[in-house]
Amino acid sequence: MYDRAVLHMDLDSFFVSVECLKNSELAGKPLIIGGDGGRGVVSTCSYAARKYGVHSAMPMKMAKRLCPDAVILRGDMEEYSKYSHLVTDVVAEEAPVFEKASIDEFYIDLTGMDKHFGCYKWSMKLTEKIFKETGLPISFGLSINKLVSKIGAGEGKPLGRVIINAGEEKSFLAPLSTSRMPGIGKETYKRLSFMGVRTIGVLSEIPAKLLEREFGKSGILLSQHANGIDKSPVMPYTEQKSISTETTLSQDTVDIKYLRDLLSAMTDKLAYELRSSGKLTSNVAVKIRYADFNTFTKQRQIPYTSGDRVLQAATLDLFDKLYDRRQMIRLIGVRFSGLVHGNYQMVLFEDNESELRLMEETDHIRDRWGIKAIMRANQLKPFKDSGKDKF
Amino acid sequence: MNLIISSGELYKMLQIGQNAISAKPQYPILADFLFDIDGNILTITSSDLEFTIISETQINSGNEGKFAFPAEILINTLREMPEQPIELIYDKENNGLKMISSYGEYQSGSNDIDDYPKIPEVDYSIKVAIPAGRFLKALSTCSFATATDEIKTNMLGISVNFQPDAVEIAATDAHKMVKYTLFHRSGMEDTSFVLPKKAVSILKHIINDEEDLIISLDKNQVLFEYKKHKIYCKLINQPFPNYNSVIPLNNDKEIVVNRQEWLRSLKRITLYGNRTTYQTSFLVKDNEIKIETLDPDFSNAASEVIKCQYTGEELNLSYNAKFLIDSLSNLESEEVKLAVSTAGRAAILTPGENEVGENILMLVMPVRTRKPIAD
Repeated sequence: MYDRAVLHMDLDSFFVSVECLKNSELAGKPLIIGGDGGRGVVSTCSYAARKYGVHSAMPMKMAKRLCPDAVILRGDMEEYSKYSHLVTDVVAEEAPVFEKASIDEFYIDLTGMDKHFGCYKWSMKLTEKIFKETGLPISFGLSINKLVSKIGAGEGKPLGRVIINAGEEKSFLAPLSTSRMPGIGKETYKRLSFMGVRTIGVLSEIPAKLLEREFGKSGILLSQHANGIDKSPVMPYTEQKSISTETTLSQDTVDIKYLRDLLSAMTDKLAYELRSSGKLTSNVAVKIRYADFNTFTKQRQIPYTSGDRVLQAATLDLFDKLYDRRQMIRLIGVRFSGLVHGNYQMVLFEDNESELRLMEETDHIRDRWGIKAIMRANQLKPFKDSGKDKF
Repeated sequence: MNLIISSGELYKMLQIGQNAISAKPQYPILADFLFDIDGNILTITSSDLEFTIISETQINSGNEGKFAFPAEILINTLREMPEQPIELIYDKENNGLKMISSYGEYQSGSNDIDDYPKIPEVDYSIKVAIPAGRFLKALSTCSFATATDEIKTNMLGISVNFQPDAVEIAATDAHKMVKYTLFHRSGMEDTSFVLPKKAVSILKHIINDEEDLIISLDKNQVLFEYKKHKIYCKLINQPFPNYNSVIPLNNDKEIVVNRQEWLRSLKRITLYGNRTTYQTSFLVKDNEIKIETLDPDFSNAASEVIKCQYTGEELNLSYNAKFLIDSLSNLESEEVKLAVSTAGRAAILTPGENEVGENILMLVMPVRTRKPIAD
């Protein structure tokens, strides 16, 4: 039973997994991703390549010598971050509090969940869900804090499911090399080795005072970490530079007019949020999920704005482009990103006084009576149907 | 066939012609200058199909014929060469080119000149002459206001409108607008065209005095003739927005400011504001403007007070400072006038005093600030 429980999830050789998803012929083959130029280095490699001694940060030339048959790819950061977003979406849907530590790592705070769900069971379910929805394998470590979970996940790779029960942190860490510990780089590792300290177990027995004298303030942290103590909290992940909303329909539908009206209502709501927080957006995205759970998004770059007219036109146009199957839709969503502080810049030839006045007056009414107090007539039906709380 | 020419003179001609050489030419031959020798006259042509530049000069040669020389290597060779006579030789049989200078020889293959696109022979229905320098100044003043957003195709150029007693030149990107009226008796009845912005930078290279610029106009194309140069230019065939209809008529509150002082202040202030929106507020009262900006993302803020002439009711205005900086930089007068009606409407910026024969009006759209939330 955990009092505090932190789960660390780490996608197994993330870039390689993505490449294998895109091209199934690569699966199982030695694969190296990194710069192929004269001074390129390996950014990651598949487990098959690791058997030859290839590892990340190794010069590409050396990697080629060690494993001449390896397939070498330059890597596509855009594609990777797209997959990373997919995983983030799944995690965000399930996890109560989570932190995205990097493109392929997540910390999830599961404190208090053991009693009702069982932390291990819940974690297994999440990894399965991630694999099912994205096709990416993931390892996890579960313990009472971030540090031990991270080391645990690293030890278990690939497809690791490592649990360190409360109270067993020290004995779990003790036999491991000090180089396994996050925060111990090449230099610190060398200095520790010079002192005869090669395992975390030995490190944990050195008095904190001594380590402080040797390494300064970080020595204290080092001592705590070696003893499996890490009080750092899971910092919730927020994509501050965007705002979004989505609605799962109470019933799947193909009624285009209804969907467009709903989308227009959602856009108005977000646009109002933008204006009331004094922000402008430069990127509009629309998301739809069909009844078979296939999800698609489309986005567009626009000049900075917070005006209803431009945003409405953009989201509706994106929706028309996105909806190309004659299938029932289950969910639609809107996202504004690329936010900056600022107020609405007026446009010649297009803006007219009455439209702007309308926008200002409706904002005024919403400020005073709440967001549901006023809306366009065409938005009334979707608003009533789709659960008012969603708005 | 050969010709002998001063390297400096040739370089000058090529520099003008280079403006119509595209970095990615549509046909290989368009990466070349076309040399055409006819007795004692040499014409050099360059084209990117949008613009075609033809320049003429006198030479000593009894030959006749045409050849094409790769633009990039020719112009770069001449750049690194002090003034001297050089000889260009074209060997038609081997299709080879040779250039001889006092330093040595340079050889290159030539493209087939028959591939060079023909300039469409157009029967220009309209022909008008205008003092080149004044016309160029008007175009240059307006060109900053053209749109850069490729979606606004009709605003990518500069509108030129000939009227019997004046030429109205205007540009806008829907956030700012400039209208430059050049008083010149052309006798033309309301004729207009939209000129690509690039034409201005080409004209800047050749125009250096008030000699007449002959403008010949067709539906799709305009021809500028000035001294020994001809520039053919494709027009933007999109209706230009009706800019006269958006100029407010009742902007009765007038603020008079020293242009340089305001410009410098804005340049300092914007360093502390948001670099994407440049939104800046202006509180005007009692002969002072308080200029303020802030960028909460970086905890940056700045404010300044400058002198002005204004004694009416307090005004709380908000603009993109970048638009104002661009507008003020393109004026020359010592003082400028900003005329407004209310904070939420277009402001008109004019020079304190217009120079003789011209009238400049700039329009800046405000930033709409939110009303404070009522309790």
